Amino acid sequence: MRISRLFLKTVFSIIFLLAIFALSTMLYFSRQLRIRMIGEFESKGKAIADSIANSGGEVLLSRDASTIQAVVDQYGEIDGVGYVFVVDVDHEIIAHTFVPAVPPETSLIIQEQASTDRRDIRMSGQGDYVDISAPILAGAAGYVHVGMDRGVIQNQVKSAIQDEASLMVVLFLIGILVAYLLARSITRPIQAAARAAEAVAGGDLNVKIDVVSKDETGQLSESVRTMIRNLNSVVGQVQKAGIQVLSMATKISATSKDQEAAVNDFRVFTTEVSATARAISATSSELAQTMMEVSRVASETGELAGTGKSGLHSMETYMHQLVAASQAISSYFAELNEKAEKVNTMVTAITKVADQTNLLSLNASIEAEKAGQYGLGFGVVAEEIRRLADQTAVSSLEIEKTVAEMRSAVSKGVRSTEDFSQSVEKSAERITNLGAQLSLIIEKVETLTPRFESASDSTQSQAEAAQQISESMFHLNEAAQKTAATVDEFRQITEQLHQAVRGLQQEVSRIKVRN
Amino acid sequence: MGRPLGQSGNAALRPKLFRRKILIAAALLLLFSAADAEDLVVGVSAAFSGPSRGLGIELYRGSISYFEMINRQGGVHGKRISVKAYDDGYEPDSAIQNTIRLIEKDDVLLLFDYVGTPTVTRVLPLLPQYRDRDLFLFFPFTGAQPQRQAPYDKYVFNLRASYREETQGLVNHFLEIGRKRIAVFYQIDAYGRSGWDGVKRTLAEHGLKMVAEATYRRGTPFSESLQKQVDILKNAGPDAIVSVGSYAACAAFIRDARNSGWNVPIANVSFVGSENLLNLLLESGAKAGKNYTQNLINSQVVPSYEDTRLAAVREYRDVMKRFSQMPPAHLMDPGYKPLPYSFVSFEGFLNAKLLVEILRRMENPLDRKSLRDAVESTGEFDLGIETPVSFGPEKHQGLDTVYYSTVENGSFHPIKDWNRWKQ
Repeated sequence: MRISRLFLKTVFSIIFLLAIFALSTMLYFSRQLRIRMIGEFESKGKAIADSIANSGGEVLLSRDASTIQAVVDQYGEIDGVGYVFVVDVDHEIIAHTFVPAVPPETSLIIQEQASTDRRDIRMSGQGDYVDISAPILAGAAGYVHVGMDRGVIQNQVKSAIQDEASLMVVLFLIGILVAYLLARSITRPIQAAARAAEAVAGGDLNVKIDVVSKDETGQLSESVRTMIRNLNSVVGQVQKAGIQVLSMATKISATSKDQEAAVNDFRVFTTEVSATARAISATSSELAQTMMEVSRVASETGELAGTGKSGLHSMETYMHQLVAASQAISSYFAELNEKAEKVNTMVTAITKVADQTNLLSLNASIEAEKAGQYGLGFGVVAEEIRRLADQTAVSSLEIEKTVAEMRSAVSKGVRSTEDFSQSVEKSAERITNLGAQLSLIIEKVETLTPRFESASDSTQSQAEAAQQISESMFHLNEAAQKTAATVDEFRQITEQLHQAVRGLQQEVSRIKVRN
Repeated sequence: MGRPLGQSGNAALRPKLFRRKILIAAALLLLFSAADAEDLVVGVSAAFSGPSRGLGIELYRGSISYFEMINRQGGVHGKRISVKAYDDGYEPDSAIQNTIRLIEKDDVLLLFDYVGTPTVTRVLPLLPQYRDRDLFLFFPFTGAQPQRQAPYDKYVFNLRASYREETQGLVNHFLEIGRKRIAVFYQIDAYGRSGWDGVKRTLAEHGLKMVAEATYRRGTPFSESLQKQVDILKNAGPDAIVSVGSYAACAAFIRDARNSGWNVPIANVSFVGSENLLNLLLESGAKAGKNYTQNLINSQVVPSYEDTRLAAVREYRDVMKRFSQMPPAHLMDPGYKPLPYSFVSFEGFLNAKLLVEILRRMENPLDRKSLRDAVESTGEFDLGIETPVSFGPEKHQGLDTVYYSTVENGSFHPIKDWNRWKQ
């Protein structure tokens, strides 16, 4: 099992504190114990020495060594007493407890016995002692010496310290045990909660926590239990919602496919419109060429008139006719001018249509953006565009008709001009002289040419306008293509949405929910 | 107390007219004796265990065997003598406890056959404590001074000579044969000090001092090495050693001295228990292939039990042959082999014989108040050892004679000539 770090921290902190406490207590009490016990031993030695000295006076005076020895023995058996010896007034030892012999150091003590009643001494072969002496009858009968065994003192101090140390060790161990149990009782529920949270993080919502406790750890466990319960219900709902979103995304995807089809249809329509406009343009161009032809013929006529210089002066008479004919021509051509004017108007109408188509294309693009559920809107726009195409067709028919009228008018002009040229042929000789006059005519004829040219220009601009329609239609087509691309993009995005929802659903389904 | 039976005891001394009554009384006495009610009970505290058990056991055997004989003969004034004994292991504290028990619980008539100086010395202060009971200690097996002088001498009757007399005799004999450098080996307690003091005093009389001294602790077993003590004394170069100890330690000292090639004369005092000492030396000597018994001198306070010229010796040998008794099982160390004869059991025999004599001379042996008078004022007692024994108000020691013996052919014999150790 993995050991909780919180547990280790708690336990080690308590062990550390306990160790400091135990160690300092031990050191302090060891010191105190040593001082006190040594003091006790020394006062004990003093008491013994005094006691022997007080009881020994009479005995010493009677000089019976064995009686003194009996007293000495009695005290010599007391714990901590290393030796006892009694010295008489002649500095002779009369009783002692030394084995195997009286150490030579005793003579030192005996020599200076009056000067001090306590001294440390090392007896050869015996050990270290604290020698305590007491006078018998104030020294008149001798001295008693009691040697407190430093070894025994040290041993007793040591054993007392050892007892204390073992007590501290026991307390220390109990402390560790309590700390261990305490830390475990705290960290175990936390660990269980952490494990549960980990399992939840790994997607397992089936995990259970067994800990039951009334303290905060119990509350924690209960909170984690509640959390898992809530997560269970939330994830369950998310899983259900995912399924719903997926079905909706599928529907959107289908709808966007429909839109794409509609846009494609629109593109076909605009292509058709464009083709029609191109046809109009081509027709207008032909008309312009015809006009150019007319202009050229007029020029030739001017040249022909120029050639009839011999009958110039005869031409004066036909001059009026010629003027009339030229007036008729000019009226025809005015008519033609008018028609050209009409063509202008129509061109304007076509321009309008182009504008509207333009606007429509704009609408179409807007509609395309809204495409989602308004796929039908595109149908309406397509209808409008179709209608406009119809109008354009009608206009082009009128243009055709007008051009036809113009043609006939020109034809009439041609016939008149033929009559005029017959008259001119008849009066050829006459007008040869009328060169100057004829030149004048030529000049007038020449003034006709720019008019034709302007008409031709108008036709040309009509063709250009049709070309512009065609271009607009092309742009519209392009826009529709873009719309189609956008719709495709939208479809792709929808597809992505679909995938995302599926992914989400997969993720959510990975989480094991309690049934 | 004891009036009715006391009267019947007196009746036993009257003419044959009362013979039937005596028989009835004797039967009653036997009945009562089971309850110990009117026996003459003497109290013993001695070493029945430890390194000095040989002394306690042999002293007890010498006495109890004699009492057995007397009891079989009808006792003293028709009263049996019984012994209440406790083991003190030669330890003073036990001796004190035993004594208090004997006095207060067992209510003994008198204290008897105590063994050892440290034990007796410590028991002595109890006697004045119980002075209103007229309690006396009879014939302790120790030659120490305290019970021979004030204030305790009046509570104690000694039979044997003192250690002071024993050591004085030994030292004087050594000085006579030119052995002036005397060293002392002794037990470091009241007993050893008593002997040490005797040596010191005697030497001082001649203006001499002991050349060295070495000690050992009471209870030292034979197995322990005493080489240190041997070395200390040997280094001083003495002419003779006076050894004041118990047999285990003294035998060990002799063994270690002889093992280090030192053949100086070694003199032991009576308390050593000569036969116990000798047996240890013979056994260990046989094992080591050495003779540890050369140059040994033992002072005795009773005559040699080999001296069958003496009536007491003949009676002693007879009693030990016919009535030999052993201590009760709870006091008997199963590992101890009793001696057929010994100075110690002979002393026990003499103690018992003297006590019976004293009791016989009393009108009523249960009357403690008359006990002192019976001892002090009834003149001489003849124990059959040629020397008469007598006591007086100022004389509480029966014998002053010291006997000297040495080992010859594996046993102790009286010394006839000290000149063999002359120097």
